[in-house]
Amino acid sequence: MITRTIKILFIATICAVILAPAVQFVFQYPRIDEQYLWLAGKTEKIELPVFSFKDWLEEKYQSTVTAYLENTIGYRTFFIRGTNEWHYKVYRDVYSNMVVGKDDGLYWKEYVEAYIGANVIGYDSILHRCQRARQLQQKMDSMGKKCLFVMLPGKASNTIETIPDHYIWRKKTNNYELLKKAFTETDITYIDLYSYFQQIKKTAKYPLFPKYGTHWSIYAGGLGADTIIRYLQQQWHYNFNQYYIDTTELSNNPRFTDADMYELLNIVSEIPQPELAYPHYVVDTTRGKMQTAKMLMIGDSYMFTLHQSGLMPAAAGENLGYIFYGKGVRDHNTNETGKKAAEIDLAAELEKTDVVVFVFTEINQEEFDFDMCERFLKALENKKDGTN
Amino acid sequence: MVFSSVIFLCYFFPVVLGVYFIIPNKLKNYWLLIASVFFYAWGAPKFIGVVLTVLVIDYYLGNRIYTTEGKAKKIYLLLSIVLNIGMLFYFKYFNFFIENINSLLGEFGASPITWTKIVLPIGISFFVFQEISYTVDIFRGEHKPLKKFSDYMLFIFLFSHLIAGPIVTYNVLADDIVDRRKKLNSDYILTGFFRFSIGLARKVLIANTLGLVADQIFKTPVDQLTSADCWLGAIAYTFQLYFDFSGYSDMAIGIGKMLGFDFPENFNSPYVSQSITEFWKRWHITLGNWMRRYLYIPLGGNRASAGRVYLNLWIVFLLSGLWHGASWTFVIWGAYHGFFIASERFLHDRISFSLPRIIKIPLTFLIVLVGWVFFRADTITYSLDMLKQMFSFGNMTISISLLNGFTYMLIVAGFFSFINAIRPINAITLGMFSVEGNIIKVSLRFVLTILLFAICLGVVVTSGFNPFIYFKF
Repeated sequence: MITRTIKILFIATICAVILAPAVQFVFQYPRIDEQYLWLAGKTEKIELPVFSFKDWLEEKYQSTVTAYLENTIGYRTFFIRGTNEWHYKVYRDVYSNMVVGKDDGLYWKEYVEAYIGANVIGYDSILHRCQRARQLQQKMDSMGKKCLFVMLPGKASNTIETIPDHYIWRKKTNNYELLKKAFTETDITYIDLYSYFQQIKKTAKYPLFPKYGTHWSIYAGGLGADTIIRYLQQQWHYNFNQYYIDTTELSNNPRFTDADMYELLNIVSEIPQPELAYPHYVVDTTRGKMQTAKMLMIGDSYMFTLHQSGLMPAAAGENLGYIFYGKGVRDHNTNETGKKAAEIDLAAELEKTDVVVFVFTEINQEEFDFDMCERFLKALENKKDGTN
Repeated sequence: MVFSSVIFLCYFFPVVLGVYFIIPNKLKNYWLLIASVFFYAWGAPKFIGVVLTVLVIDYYLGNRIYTTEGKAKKIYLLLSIVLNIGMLFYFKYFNFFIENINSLLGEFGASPITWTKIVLPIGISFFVFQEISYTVDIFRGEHKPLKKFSDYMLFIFLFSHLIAGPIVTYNVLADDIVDRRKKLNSDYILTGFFRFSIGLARKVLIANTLGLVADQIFKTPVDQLTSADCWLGAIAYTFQLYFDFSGYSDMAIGIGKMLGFDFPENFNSPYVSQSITEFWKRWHITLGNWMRRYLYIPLGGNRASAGRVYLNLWIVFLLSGLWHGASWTFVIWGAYHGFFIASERFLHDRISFSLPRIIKIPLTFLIVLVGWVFFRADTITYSLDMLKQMFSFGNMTISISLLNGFTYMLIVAGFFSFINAIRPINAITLGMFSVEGNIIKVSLRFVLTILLFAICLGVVVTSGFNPFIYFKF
């Protein structure tokens, strides 16, 4: 038999539970340590708006207040981490744009969908792009320079065995297969690290892809950079510094982006990190200082692993520039200048460059040149016409 | 402001409820009215003036109906009905009306009528029906008008049922509006909270999860979907709609309970129905009741000739369909159900054999599911294409990616939808929300409800958190 006292106690508990988040936000009681208030990932910061009748009528005030209260509610980080923990451990889901692998590893959904061919836009589109790319290669040949395309490996295509089966069952022709065919048809000069890494994955000394990271591992980036540099040296006789591996550190503390997806999980528990290799590349100074080729690299975020491996800066020294997704420019020492590619003189950039290298992973295969070939060709055309 | 939001769960409702129980009884209705007007103005600030004006007129008409007799009484009733239906037609159906006129004009090569699209005030379909019930119940002598205009406003505006029902008719709520002191007790508060939490879980955990897949499928062109995808979309939507709507009703009933109001039940395990007739006694019960009281019976009800009864049934369901939305898909859906209702009535008197329950339940479910395809699709063409794809049983591989949470929730939804077919539990009984029984049972119920509430709050907070790592230009 439930007495009235017990019912009142139940009600008091209900009130405490319902009011706790608001009380914590308004009165900051109980105080929560700063370390527990942190969540990984970028989100928009929302401020409490000033009331205006006009904004009220247009419902702008209400939507901003609602967003503000949602972002500041007490115990928010606990709610988010708790819910994400449940989703990750029980449902094996996290965010709608993440896929949890069979080994609990993480993928961005777009990488998996690129592998299974869910983002194919069609052969004709790719072929047209390849034709423009080949024109750029030929144009640069005529200028005494070189242009190279490098298909980088992707996490999904390299770890098929851990992708959930219901994705694998849906695999059809993907952009890699179309691109390979188009590259052959247009006689483009390229390196296929995509299939090369699939071949070496069983014999590689260290993991090529971090379980909880977006990109290839620093070790894999070094292998990829080494392949590119040796190709440029052997095929086109470009000078680069000689380098060697001084030490290789094995660590369970991931560096750079090796665990970026894990951080973004924002869960309660800590997951032990697998061991990854971090080779330390140094320049071989016994052969004296070399005048290295000036290289401009254009690519997606996998490009930065080439740099973070340490091999690219060791080999190319100061003569190295990056354009990120064809939009953001980083200077030769990779300090971000804040410049946009649209602001720079592309013809002049090509003038001072010896070799342009395009690098792209599986999610960007259908737009592998980030529209830069078209822009370079137009810039050269304009320069020739004097319409710069 | 939706019930399943941080602002409602953590700020609005605790404050409203807290003040409600502190202030004296004579002030409670005023406080609820202020809170309800604020609730409506938060979501539809531009329409509050229009709605309040109509309420003033309707209240006056209600009083005139009560104090007059004969022809004048009927005229006042007619005025009230015309005013409310007119408002509903203007805000909800005028765009639809003009679009169809323009289509017709286009067929004859004439230039279309230009007009500014009218925005729909939230909750209009619900409070118009409540206003009509007020004046009609007064006309029928079932209740006196409310003495205070503020009480009338509260009857229409009470935030718990204002936006999405249940449709609470005047005869049901009249006494509670005036005096509900006996219901302001711990039993009502606890029962209400239990009910509210269950409703919140149905909406946030089940309906929202299933809705992600249903939305994804229904916005994909049919030629990009396999047969299995189409079936999945239809099934996902069938359960999404039920748990969303019934969840919201549970929350409304729970809130009402906590405030001392007894709202009528709105759902009773509709998917265990053995006929469409039974389905409409279990699905959106308050709408069915309203249609019967204020439309079907005035049209003649069951006392008309057989042919007239079938026509009346069909008209009622056609209008029910249209009530749900200004689109031909809703009309088709309503006509579809009307056809089955009339057919069952026709066959009932003529056929003596009955199919076994194990066939009737899935068959009825299938008929309802097909109807939901029309209900959900944006166009009739899409719904027909989808149904064609479904029943072709062509490629039965699911081509879209499914989160694991969806699969779990689909199983949970199926279980809770059909459990009453296995065990004859009447889900309408408040047993599962009751505070009676031994202390262990009730304590367990209480702990589970608190946990459920906290989990739902966690999901609501997390749903607004969408971090990204890299800017991709």
